[in-house]
Amino acid sequence: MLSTLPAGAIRAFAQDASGTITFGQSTAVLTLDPAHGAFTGYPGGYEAALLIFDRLLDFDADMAIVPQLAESFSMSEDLQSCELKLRSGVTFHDGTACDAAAIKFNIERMMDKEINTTNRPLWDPIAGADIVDDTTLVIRTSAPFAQLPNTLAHGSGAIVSPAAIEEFGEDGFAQNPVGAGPYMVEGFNAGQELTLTAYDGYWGDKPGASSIVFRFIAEPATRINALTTGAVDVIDSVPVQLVGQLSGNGEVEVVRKPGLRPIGLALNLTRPALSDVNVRKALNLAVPVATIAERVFFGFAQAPDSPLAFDAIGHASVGETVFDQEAAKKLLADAGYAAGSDGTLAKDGEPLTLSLFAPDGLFPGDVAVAEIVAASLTQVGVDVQITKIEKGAYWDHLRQDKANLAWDMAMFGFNPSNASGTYHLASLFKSNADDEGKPDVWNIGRYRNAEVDQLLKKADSEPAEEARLEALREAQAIIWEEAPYLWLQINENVSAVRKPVSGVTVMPIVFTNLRDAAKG
Amino acid sequence: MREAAVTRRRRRAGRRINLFLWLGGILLTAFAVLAVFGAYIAPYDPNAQDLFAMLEPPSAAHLLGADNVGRDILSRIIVGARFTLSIALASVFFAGIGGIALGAIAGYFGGWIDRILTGVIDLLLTVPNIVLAIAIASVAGASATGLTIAITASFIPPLARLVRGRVIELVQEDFIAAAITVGMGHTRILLRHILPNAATVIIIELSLNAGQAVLIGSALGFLGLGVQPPAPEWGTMLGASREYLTVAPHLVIAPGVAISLLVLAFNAFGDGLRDVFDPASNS
Amino acid sequence: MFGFLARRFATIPFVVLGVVTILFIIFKSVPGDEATFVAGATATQAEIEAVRVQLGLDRPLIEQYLRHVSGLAVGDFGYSTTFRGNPLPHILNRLPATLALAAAAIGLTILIGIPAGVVAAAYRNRLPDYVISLSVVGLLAVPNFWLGMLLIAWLSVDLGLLPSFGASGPASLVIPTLALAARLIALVARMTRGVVIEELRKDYVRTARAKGLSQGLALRRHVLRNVMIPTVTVIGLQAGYLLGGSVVIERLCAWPGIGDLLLTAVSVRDYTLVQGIVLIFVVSFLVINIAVEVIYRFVNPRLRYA
Repeated sequence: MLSTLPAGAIRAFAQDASGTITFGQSTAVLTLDPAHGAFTGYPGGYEAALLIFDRLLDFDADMAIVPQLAESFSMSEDLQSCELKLRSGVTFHDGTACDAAAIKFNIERMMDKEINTTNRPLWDPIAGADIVDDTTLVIRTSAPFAQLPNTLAHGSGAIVSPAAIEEFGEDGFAQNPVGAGPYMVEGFNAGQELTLTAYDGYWGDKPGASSIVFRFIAEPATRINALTTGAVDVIDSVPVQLVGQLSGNGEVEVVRKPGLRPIGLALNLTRPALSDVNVRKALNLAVPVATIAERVFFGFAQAPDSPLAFDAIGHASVGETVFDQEAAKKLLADAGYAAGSDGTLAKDGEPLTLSLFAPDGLFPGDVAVAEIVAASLTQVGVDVQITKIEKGAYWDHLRQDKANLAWDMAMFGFNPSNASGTYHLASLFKSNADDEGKPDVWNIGRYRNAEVDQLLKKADSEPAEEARLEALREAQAIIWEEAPYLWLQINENVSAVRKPVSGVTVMPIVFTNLRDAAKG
Repeated sequence: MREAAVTRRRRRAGRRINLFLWLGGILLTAFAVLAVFGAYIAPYDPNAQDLFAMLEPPSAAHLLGADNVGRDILSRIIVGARFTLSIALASVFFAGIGGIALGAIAGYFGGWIDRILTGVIDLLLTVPNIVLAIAIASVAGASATGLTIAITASFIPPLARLVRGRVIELVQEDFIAAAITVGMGHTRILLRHILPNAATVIIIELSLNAGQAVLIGSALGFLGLGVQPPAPEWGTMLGASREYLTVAPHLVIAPGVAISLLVLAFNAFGDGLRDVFDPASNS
Repeated sequence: MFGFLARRFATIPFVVLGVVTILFIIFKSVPGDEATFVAGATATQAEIEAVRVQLGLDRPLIEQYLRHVSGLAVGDFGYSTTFRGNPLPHILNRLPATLALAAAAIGLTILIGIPAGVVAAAYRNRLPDYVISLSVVGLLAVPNFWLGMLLIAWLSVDLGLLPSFGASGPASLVIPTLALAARLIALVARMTRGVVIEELRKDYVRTARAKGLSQGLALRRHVLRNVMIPTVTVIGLQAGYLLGGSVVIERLCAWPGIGDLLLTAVSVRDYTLVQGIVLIFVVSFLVINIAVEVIYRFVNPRLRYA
C-alpha cells in the first residue's frame, strides 16, 4: 500500500514518528528471501534481513557464535549432528508460531537445491532435521561438519514463516518477506526503499527504534551529503578519501572494522609462466601493498599476513608482505627471464605479458588498484594489460572452463560470510575435482596441493578444536608460501552514524548492523 | 533552431561567419596537434604514478594537479586528446559512410527499398541516441572499439534520414533526369552526380555530429562504458574523479574544460561552415 | 482532434513491435549464455540447464521471439534476474521520477529560454545580447553531467543550499533539472531570438511602432504568441535528448528514475530489464512527440487543416 504513495509522503509520515532511523545504503535491497539467490543485492539485502529475520544462532561483534532462536546448541562428538534447544513462544510477524516444525521446514527448504541455489557449500553437508519435541531439534550432516553452527548463524540461515511461503508462493515471498525478527516490513519498493516497523510481538528486547527506513543511495558523495544534512542517520561504505570530512563533524561518528575479505589477484596457474612459484613470488615482491593501503585507502586498509583476513576464525599470522623490486627482478632473472628490446622481460622468445582482469566498482578502489599493480609490475619488466569488466559479467569471466580462461591475473576477494577460515580456504584453494571444467567453488586459478586438501579436511573434522586450528594454520602457511595469489590489501568496512543514533555496529563481514540501533 | 538563425546570419555575413570558422579551426588544429604529438608535448608519462603525489592540487610540478593514483593530470589531458578525438572522428566517419549509403540508396531508388529502410530508420530514431548507445555499449563491451560502434550506431539513423531527403530533392532535378535518360548506370549517377551535390549538407552535419560524438562518448566514459584503464580518456577521467568531487575538485575541472572546448570547436566549425557554404540550408 | 489522436496512438504498437524486434536481434547476438547469468556464478552445469529449460532458452529462436512478443502484449516483459520475474511493475514504479525530471526541465526551459531569447533580440548587438548569445554557445558545448558535477560541488558542497541526491522533496530536483535543461534552454533562447528579430522586422510591428506603440508593447502584442512555436519545435526535436540525458543525470544525482535503473540493469547484465526500459523510453518518446504535435496544432491554427 505505502509503496504506491510518493516517496515524499512516506518520508513526511516517517519523520513524524519519533525514533525513525534512516539508513542510506550503498547497495539496493532487491529481494528478501534466504533462498532463490539469497537476499539481493549484496550486502544491502543481508543488512535488511538481519532485522526482519531471526536465525537459530547469531554472530556477536567479534564473530563468536551466540544463541538467537536457539537458546543453546551442542555439537555431537562425531561432528555429524547438532542438537538445538529452541526458544518457546516465538511468533512470526504474521502471528504464526515459530516452532520446531517451522524450523524443520526452513532447514529442509534450504537443503533443496532447486529452491536454494546459492551458498550451497554451507548447506550441502546437511542431511536432515528431526523434531525431538516442541522445543528440541536435531540437525544431521552426512559427514563431519564442524562449521554447522556457522551455517546456522550465516545470513542465509534466516528463518522464514512457512505460512507466508504458502501464501505468497516461492516466487512471491522475496517481495513479501515475513520473519520472526525485531522489525517487520511495512513498505517495500524493491531497489529503492524498504520501511520496517518495530514488531510488538518480538520475543527479545524491545526494538530500539519505532521504524527503520533503508534507502538506496548509490553515490558515495551524495550518501555523505545526506548524512551531514541529516536526511539519513546512518550510511555505509564511506569512501575512505571522504572520511576526513566526516571526522571533523561533531555530529557524526565514524564506525570502522577490518573486513574478512582479503583482496588479491588470483593467478592463473594453468599458464606456463605463472606455474613457476618464483615468478609468483616475484610478482608479490614487485607491488607496494603497504603503500597502497596507506595512500590509496588512507590507512583504512592493511597489508595481509596470511591468505585469511585478521578476524577470520582460525586466522594465523604466517608471513609478511614485502616490497622489494630488486629482489623481484633477481627472482625473475633466476627464473630465466631477460629484458627484450622494448624492456619487457621474455623467456625463450615469449614476452612476459599478463592480462589483468578487474571489475569496476565491485571491490574498493578496484580500478585504481589494478592501475597501480600494472604500473608496478611494469617497473620490474612485466607487461600488464588491464581489462575492466562490468560488475554483472565479472564473476562469469572468473569461473570459466580452463579452455575459456581469458585472464592471467584476476582481482578477487572472497568474503567468508560464515566467518570460518576453513570455509574460506576450502572455497579458494581446495583442489577442483576437474581442472578442465568449471571450478567447484572459487578455486579459479586451479591451485592443487594434496597436502593442503588433507589439512583442510582435518580442519573440518578433527574433534578437538586445537587440532582443527593447527591444521588450518599449517594450510595458511603452505598457501602463503606458494603464492597462488598476488596478495593485496585487506580493506576496512567504514560506516558513519549521526547523533543521536547509537548502537550501530559494523561487522567484519561487511554488514552494517542496525539490530541494536536506537535513536534519542 | 538553426532555421531561424539563418536570416540573422545572412544579413551579418562577413565578420561573424569567419570568426566562427576561424575559432573552430584554430581550436581543432590545436587539439589535432595534441592528439598526434601529445606524447612528446606532455611533461610526464601520462601513466607514470607517484603515490605520494596523490590528489595533489595544482602546483609548479603538476600544473593541473595529480589524480587519484598520483598521475599528472595535464599530461593525461594532453595525451587523452588522442582518445577522445579519434573516437569522435572514427564514429563520425563510419556513421557518415553508413548514413550516406543507407540514405542515398533509400532516396535514389525509392519504392519498397525506401519504405523498408525508412521504416527501420524511423524505428531507430524513436530510441534516444544515448540510450541506444548504452544498450549497444553494454553488448559491445568497454573498449574504444565498443564505444565507436555505439556512437556510430546512434548517429546513422538521423544522418540517413537527412541524406535521403537531400537525395530525393536532387533526383527531381533536370540534370539527373537527363543522366537517367542517356542510360547512365545507377552507381555512376549516385557517385558522380548526386553525392557531390549533397556533400555540403553532409559535411556540415558531420562536423556538428562530431561535437555530439564527443559529448556522447564522454558520457559513456563517465558511466564506465568507455575505454580500458589506464587510458586517459576524458570522460573516463571524470567518472573516476566523481568520488573525489568534494575533496579534490581540481580532478573534475580539467577534463570537463577539455571536453567543452573540443565540443565548442566542432560546433563553431560546423556553424561556420554552414554559414559560408550553405547560408540558406534547412529552410 | 480525436480522430488525429486515435490515428497517432494506433501507430504506437507497430513502432513498438519494430523496436522490440530490433532489440531482440541485438540482444540475442550477445556473446555469453543467458542461462548462466540467471543461474548465478556458483551454479553447476545441471542447474544452468534447468534454468535454460525453465526460461525456454532451449527453444528455437523464432519460438522464443513469438513468446516474447505475445508476453509483451499482455504486459509480461519476461524474466528479469534483478527482480526475479516480470520487471514491468518495477519499471513503472520508477517512471514517474523520470517524467517529473523531464517535465521540470521543460518547465525551466520555457521559464528561462524564452525570456532570454526575447531579451537578446530586444537588445540586439548590445551587451545583454552578447552575454546571452555567448552563454548559449557555452551551454551547447558543456557536457550535462559535468555541469551537474559543478553544480553539486558549488550548490550543495560549498554553499550547502541543496541536497545532492535522491527524492527528498522538491529541492533535490533543482540540480538535476538545471543540468538537464541547460542544453534545451540554450536552444530555445537561440531560436526565440531569431524568431523575435524576424517578427520585429515585419510590417505589422513596424506599423504598430509607427503608430506610437512602444517596442515592449509591440513585442507583447504580436510576437510572443509566435515564440511558442520554436519552443515546441525544440522540445519535439530534443525529446530524445531529454530522455537520454536523464539517464546520465539520474545516475549522477542518484535520482530514482528509469535511467538510473537502466544503468543498474546494464551493470548486472539483466538484458530483460534493459530491453524493458528501452521500450518504455521509446513509448515515452512517442507520446511526447504526439503531445508536441497536438500543441503545435493548438498554437498554430493553420496547421489544423493541413
